[in-house]
Amino acid sequence: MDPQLFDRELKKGSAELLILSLLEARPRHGYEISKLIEQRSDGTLRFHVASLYPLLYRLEKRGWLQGRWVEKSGQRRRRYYRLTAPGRAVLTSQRHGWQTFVRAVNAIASVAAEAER
Amino acid sequence: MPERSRSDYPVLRAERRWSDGAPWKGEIATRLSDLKLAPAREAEIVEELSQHLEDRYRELLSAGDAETDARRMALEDLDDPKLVQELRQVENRVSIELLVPGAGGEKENLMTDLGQDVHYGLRMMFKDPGFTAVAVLTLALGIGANTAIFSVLDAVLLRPLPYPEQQNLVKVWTRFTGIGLPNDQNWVSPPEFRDFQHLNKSFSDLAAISTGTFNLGVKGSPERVIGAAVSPSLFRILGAQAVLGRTFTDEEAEPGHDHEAILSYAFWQRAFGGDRSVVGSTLRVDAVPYTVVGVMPPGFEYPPETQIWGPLAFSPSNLTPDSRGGHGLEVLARIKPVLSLAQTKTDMDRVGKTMIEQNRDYPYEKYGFGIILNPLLEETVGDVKASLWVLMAAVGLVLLIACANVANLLLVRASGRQKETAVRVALGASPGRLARQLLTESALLGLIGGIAGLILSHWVLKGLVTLSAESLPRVVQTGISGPALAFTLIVSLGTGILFGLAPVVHLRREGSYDVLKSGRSTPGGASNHLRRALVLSEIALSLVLLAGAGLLLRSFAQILKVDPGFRPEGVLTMRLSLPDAKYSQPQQVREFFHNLIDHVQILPGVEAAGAINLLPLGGLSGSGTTTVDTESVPPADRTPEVDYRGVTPGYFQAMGIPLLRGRFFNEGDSDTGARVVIIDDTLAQAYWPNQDPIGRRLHFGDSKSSGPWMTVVGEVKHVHYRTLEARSRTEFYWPQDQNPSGTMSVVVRTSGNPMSLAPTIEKEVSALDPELPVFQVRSMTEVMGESVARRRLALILLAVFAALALLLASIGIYGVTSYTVTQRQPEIGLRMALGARRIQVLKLVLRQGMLLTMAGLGIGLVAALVSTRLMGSLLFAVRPADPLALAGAVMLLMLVALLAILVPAGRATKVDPVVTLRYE
Repeated sequence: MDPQLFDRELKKGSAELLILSLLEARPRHGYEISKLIEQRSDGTLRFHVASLYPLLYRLEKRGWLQGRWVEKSGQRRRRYYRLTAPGRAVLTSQRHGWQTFVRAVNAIASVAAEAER
Repeated sequence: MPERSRSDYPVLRAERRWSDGAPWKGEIATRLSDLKLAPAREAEIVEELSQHLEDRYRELLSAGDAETDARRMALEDLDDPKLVQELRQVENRVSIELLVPGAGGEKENLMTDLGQDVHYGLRMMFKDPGFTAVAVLTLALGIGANTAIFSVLDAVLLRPLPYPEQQNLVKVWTRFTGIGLPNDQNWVSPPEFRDFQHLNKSFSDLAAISTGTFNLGVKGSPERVIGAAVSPSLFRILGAQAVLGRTFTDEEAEPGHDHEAILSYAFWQRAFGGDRSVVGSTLRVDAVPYTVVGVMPPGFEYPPETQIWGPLAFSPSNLTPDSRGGHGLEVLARIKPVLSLAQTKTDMDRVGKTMIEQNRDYPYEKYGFGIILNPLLEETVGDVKASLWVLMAAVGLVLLIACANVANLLLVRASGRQKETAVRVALGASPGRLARQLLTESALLGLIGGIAGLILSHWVLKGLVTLSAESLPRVVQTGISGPALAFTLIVSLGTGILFGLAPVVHLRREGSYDVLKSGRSTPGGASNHLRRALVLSEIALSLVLLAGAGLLLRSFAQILKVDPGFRPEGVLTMRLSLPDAKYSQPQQVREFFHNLIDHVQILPGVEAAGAINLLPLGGLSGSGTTTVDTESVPPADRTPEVDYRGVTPGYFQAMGIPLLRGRFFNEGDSDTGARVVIIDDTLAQAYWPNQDPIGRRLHFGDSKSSGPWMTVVGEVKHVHYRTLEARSRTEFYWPQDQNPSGTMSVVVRTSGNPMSLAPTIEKEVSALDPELPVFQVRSMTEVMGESVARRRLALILLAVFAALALLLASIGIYGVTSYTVTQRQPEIGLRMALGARRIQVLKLVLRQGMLLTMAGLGIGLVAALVSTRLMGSLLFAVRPADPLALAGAVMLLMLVALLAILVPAGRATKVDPVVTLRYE
């Protein structure tokens, strides 16, 4: 596979997992999500407006998320995204798939590394 | 939504405070304006993104960035082209004001798409009511005709008989080859029935049936009812129970115990008003008292139309060797459940061989005797099968033509929608998605056409049942049934998809992008080809139908040309049956008919009067082995099977049968006179070729029979007694007085309208015997008409379908010519501006249209030659490749095509060169 394409697919697939994971604990708004991704990955992963919001809308369209305008006193109106039941199911399966994938890659990568030695 | 341009928003200035978010909104809205989102959705996205930018901006400020830098960095995110690109993908398929489904590029939920497509399709239909009306009407005609014919087909051919395990029911016939019986199939005589019963190993039960009509005295008025004497086992075989009382016991089939009767439900209701006390009461059937023992449930009428059943008892005289030739019983049997039809046939072949062995005195060997088994369903509907399937094929063709027409309409519309399609492609709709949407539209159209067709077929069916009740078995049970509904649904969807394929093919062939660039629809060459191909096939299919209808018409004309051997015009007939109980002596019968004919003969308006026991073309015939005294044929051929009838002296004059030699019967040919016969020219030619048959002799039965010789006194022309289509066998007549029959058809030749004399003659009958009912009062022309009723029905239907096809095809030709003319208007205008005359333009358009027609006719001719061969069994004296029928069909189609081309061609010549050129 073209390495660039591989990268893109990987990112696209993992982006969904990231967003779903972040919403597992509680509803968050878009900016909060992008901040959390940046912080928790120590700046390795960054989501800008152009990639984050279309993805949120897409996941919402699929019924995995639900967005709602919330006005908290003294704050501006923000759109909070909540994980739906189907979203939760998808998260479980994606998380499982991701772990299997990572384990597999690790196994190969480390075996290969040992053989090199 | 009004276009927004950047200038609508204030230019961003550094000194502005950003906390209200409004300036972000302007930036965002500008970038999203290309997406043409629904206003509400756009506002929502704008607000959400502006919140994000505001958050980012504040964060940057608090991190110590300058305001300008913070603003620039926040806006940087927004300028990523991915934003609009991705949003377009996500948002365009969920926007509420969706105008063009299929613009999304991603695989989506099929059901959501379908819902969108249906919604969109319906909207397109309402936007173009003219198109929709024409398409729906065309489809309704095609589908309606199909549903109606399928309903008949389903009721008549496909729906099993209403008896348990009907597949095990068979009719049993004897086979006598070489005596001119249709399919060599003959009825069964009582001794043969007894043999079947004793020798077979395959049937769980057998029943013999003898049908007839009887005089019944009900509440004082004499009535003629259809009755059947049946073996008690019949009810067991058909699994039928009486709804009131009981069916027959086996003992009731013994002579002397057979005076019980069972009534049909309908007859019980009609004649006795459903009175339950009828069981146990006494009826007079042909003046003999019968006790009613039961009433059958509604709908049980076997043999068909039976109103009253009696037990069939064989007296010892019925079972003597002499009775072996009395073939008059119908036999129904139920095959044992474990056996197949083939196994049963093998068994009955063995029975047949045994019967030949055991009855060497009877000419079984000579006539290649055998036993024929026909499944009951096949038997009930067998002879209409061919016509029904031909009709089904015909309506199928009509539907194909209708499809081609609608496909053409869709193609024309597709050209009009080219730009719309192009926009959708540009917005990312995949070809598959577009095709799916087009097919949904056409399937929708098909369904609506189907519903309209269903409504139409309800009326068509009503007419059809009225038209065919007499000539099709079981047709009265026709309604739009479950299978017919399913059939309509499948046909509607199928046709929808079939004609919907045309614009899809068109879509695939034509790239849509160019349209966007040029900004106008261009007539595509490929779609023109497709359109012409469709019209071509319409012409070809129509020709097949027209040729088929032409062949049936020719056959019918040929039949009407057949000389039946008598002159039917002005002849009135009616049937009488003298009950045996009241007219037990032959002399009583003779006297009754003498008196009646004498009275009728002198009535004003009567030219001649007579009577015959079996009317020509009346569905009944009598025949038997006859020994002819001749040296002209080998001895083995001197005992042929001959059709014979008993007549009164006036019959030949009344029926208009010409005398060729000798004399007609007269008063002298009485019981006491010498035994005489009149033969037909066929018999004379066969046994006394080139000789004078007068004075020759023949007698009933085979050469060993003791029947007295009868002398030939006259020779008359052959009469088509059985069917108009085929000559009957050799015939002879005996004088009624020498062998009287109590059931006769009175035949009266009148000088005026025959039916107007009927009441007067009926009065004469009741003057002689007030209890005697008169039935089957018809003119001879009617009798002939009824004998070809089924053929006429097939002809009418096929002609209607062919006319429908012709109409649809002419619409198709007209449509494609008009379209071409419109397209070529600039060219025609140019030609005319350069000096072309109108006639030349006319020729140009005509040539193009007629070339197409000719090509269609060529293909159609080949198809017609192949397909009309399947009609062989429906034709009479006409070959499937009859040049007259084919030429007629071609001429008619050409004429109609010419008209359909001339109208738009004429319009083309009225083109004003200046006007059309201005557009170029």
